[in-house]
Amino acid sequence: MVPPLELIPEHSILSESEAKKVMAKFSIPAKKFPKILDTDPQAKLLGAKPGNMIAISRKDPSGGKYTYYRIVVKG
Amino acid sequence: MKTCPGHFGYLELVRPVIHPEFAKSVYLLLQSTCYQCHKALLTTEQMNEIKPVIKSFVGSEEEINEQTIAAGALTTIEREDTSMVLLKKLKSIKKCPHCGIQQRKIKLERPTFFYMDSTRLRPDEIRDWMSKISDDDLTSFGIDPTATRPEWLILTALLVPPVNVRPSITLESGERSEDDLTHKLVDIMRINQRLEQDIDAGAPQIIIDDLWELLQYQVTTYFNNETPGVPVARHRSTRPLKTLAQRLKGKEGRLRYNLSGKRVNFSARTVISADASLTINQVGVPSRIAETLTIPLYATVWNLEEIKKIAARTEYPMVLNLITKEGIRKRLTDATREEILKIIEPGCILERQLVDGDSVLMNRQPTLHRLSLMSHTVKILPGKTMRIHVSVTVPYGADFDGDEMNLHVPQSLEAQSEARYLMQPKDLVRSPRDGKPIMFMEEDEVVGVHLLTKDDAYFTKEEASLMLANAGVYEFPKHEVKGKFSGKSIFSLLLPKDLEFEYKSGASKIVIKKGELVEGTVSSKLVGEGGALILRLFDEYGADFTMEFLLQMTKMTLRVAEAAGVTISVSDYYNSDATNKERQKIIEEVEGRVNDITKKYAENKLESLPGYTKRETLELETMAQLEEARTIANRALSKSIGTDNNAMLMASVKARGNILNYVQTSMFLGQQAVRGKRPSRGYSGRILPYFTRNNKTPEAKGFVKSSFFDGLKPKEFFMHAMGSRDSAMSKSLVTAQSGYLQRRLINAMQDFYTAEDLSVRDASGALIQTIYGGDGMDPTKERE
Repeated sequence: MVPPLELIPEHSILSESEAKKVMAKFSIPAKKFPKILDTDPQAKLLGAKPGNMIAISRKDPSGGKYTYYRIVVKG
Repeated sequence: MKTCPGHFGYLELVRPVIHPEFAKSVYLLLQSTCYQCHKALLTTEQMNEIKPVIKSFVGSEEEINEQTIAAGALTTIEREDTSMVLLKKLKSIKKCPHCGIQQRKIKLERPTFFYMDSTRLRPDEIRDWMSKISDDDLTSFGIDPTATRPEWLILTALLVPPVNVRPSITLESGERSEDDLTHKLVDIMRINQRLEQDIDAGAPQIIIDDLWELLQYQVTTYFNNETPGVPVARHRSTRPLKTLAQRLKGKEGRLRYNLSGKRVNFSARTVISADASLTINQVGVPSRIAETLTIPLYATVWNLEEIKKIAARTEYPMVLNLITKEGIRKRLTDATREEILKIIEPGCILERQLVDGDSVLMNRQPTLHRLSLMSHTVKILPGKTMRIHVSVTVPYGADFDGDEMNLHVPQSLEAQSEARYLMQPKDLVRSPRDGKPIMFMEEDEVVGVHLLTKDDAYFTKEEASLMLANAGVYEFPKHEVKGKFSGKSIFSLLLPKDLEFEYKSGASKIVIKKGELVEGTVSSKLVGEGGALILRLFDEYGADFTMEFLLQMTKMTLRVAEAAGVTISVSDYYNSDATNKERQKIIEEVEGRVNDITKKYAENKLESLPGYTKRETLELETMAQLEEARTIANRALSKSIGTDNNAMLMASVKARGNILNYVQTSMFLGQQAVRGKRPSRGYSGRILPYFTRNNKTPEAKGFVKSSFFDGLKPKEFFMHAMGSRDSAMSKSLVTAQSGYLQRRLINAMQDFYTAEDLSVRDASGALIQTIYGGDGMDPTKERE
């Protein structure tokens, strides 16, 4: 398993209700979100299952922070 | 005929024929089913085994969603692979697992003849066979029986397109000439009729078979007259007929010629040239072009009288065409004008010639940019070229060495307002790449501002009035020094009265207080590439002010440069004896240092740099020394040459050329490089045959001691040629490669857009980025 690294932004699994909120925020169904394979090292590390939504908090070079969302799919 | 699109009909064929484009599918089905029981050649167990896999890919699109995909459903591509594999497997089965009969070999003789163990299978037999394949088996083959039945691959009737698809033309002689498709359809009908008569008359089987085969031939060529293995059907004049497939295929086909290659009306193209009296927003249009291009005027109840007045004109800005309510175009000539004037009513459209102030689009290919297509305001000018401001040359990537540009006249009101609101150069001064100005002063203008605003620049009243009047300023600066005006105060007249501005870079400092340039010389940093002052004016005083400022600057600085007479000659590159001595010294010193390094290496005393071998270290340090030579020469030159040297002046104010050019012309060329290294290949032990083997001196490795002014020695010439060839090659390779890379990126991302919430979406609304660029910034709107 891959240990958390500085260069890898923090990944976390969203609860079902949180995921629902995110989908509502962007007003799109789960399948319209970017995908991540369940075989992805970070997804494995979190133990994410297909259908889960993963939040990635990324740092922007211009200083800000933003959250990216991915839906776990079977790899 | 006018509005009816026509309707399809059909022709019933007396005997079925095989659809030539589907022969391969028929072949596969024949091979994978039993000729006796028409079942798929698999045991029930085998069927059950593969069924779950196949089941998942037969069905409507909606059934495939993220859940089924996650559960192992296959994508379209995977499906096709699987069914092909299945069909391949079935071919090798010898015995039908259902009725036990020995399978016979099916052969396809291109394009449409089938044989089973050398006996011919007739289309009607094949049709029967196809119709007996069960729906269940079909799903296993990847065919959806609710949508298609395989017996439909054998034609019993032929779809006949309406005449709009195959129009006939009447020649002047009154003779009718029919379309190739019509000819082909006539052929098919004729054979079909003959076949029917012969069958009814009970003709011998051989004759019927012959006619049947002929019918098959006609139908095959009707679809594609270039079917392999079939003689081409020809016209009476021996010209091959252009049938359905030929209409679509190839460079001249429907797809590449008509659909991908649309042509456009209301456009013009000519050579472009510069005009310093036009704003960046204008374009000078030759009167010949303006007289030909038109813009629509919409007649309404409110403007009817006005429009009739315009339509009555018989000189230049006149109306060329009238489009009636019914959409009929009528040309206005001196003979017809009177008549047409009477039928003008609300709802008609008049086509008026182009006049000053119309919005048109200018475009220069390659259109790599949104800024390669911008909207300009028309200014009718004499001459035959289209004229633009020099500064707007940068976003177009144009110059005036013969470049041509296209001009388009937006016709609809929507297009016109889109052009005005989104595409005017004055609004697009800031680059979408980094937010820096892309329309700025260049070359003569930069020299001009420099000469105008340098510390010791003073101008007499006469000089000042010429410069100011040129820029359209009709007042003098307030302060006078001994009857003269400082250049700084003249320049300040173009600035807003309340501008507070400061710019520092290194030792130089430029200060503007209350719209008055109080310190420093205006440089290209302010007003040229990256122009901080332009940026400031654009952000704070708006697009119109910036546009006006750029125009006034152009007019004024060009006047200054012209009056000063900025030109270069050979004498600018002529060295004094002192400089020549200096040059000699620099070269000797460098050679000395290089020889030291070589000696150290030979004595094995050279310490290798981390990560490099001794040999690499030698090469690296030598290179560094030789590169250094140019820098030293540069420093020496800058010391000895004053600003009365125009070549040096232009290089140092970043108007034209750079210091390296100067050093190479009057001092020495320096080290030539091939693939970023000193030349290293050629002859055994040396680069050129004129050297002795293992000559390690700098000149044997491409160090050129001569200048362009003195001329190169033969050996040096070849070294220089090697370097030049290398850079020419890599330059063209890099542009081709990066151009293609950019094209791929553009095509991949062309329909992404930033939505209202600043998230990036694709055409289907799917999320690409949660916030545009990770920070939601638009470089063109960004402020310090």
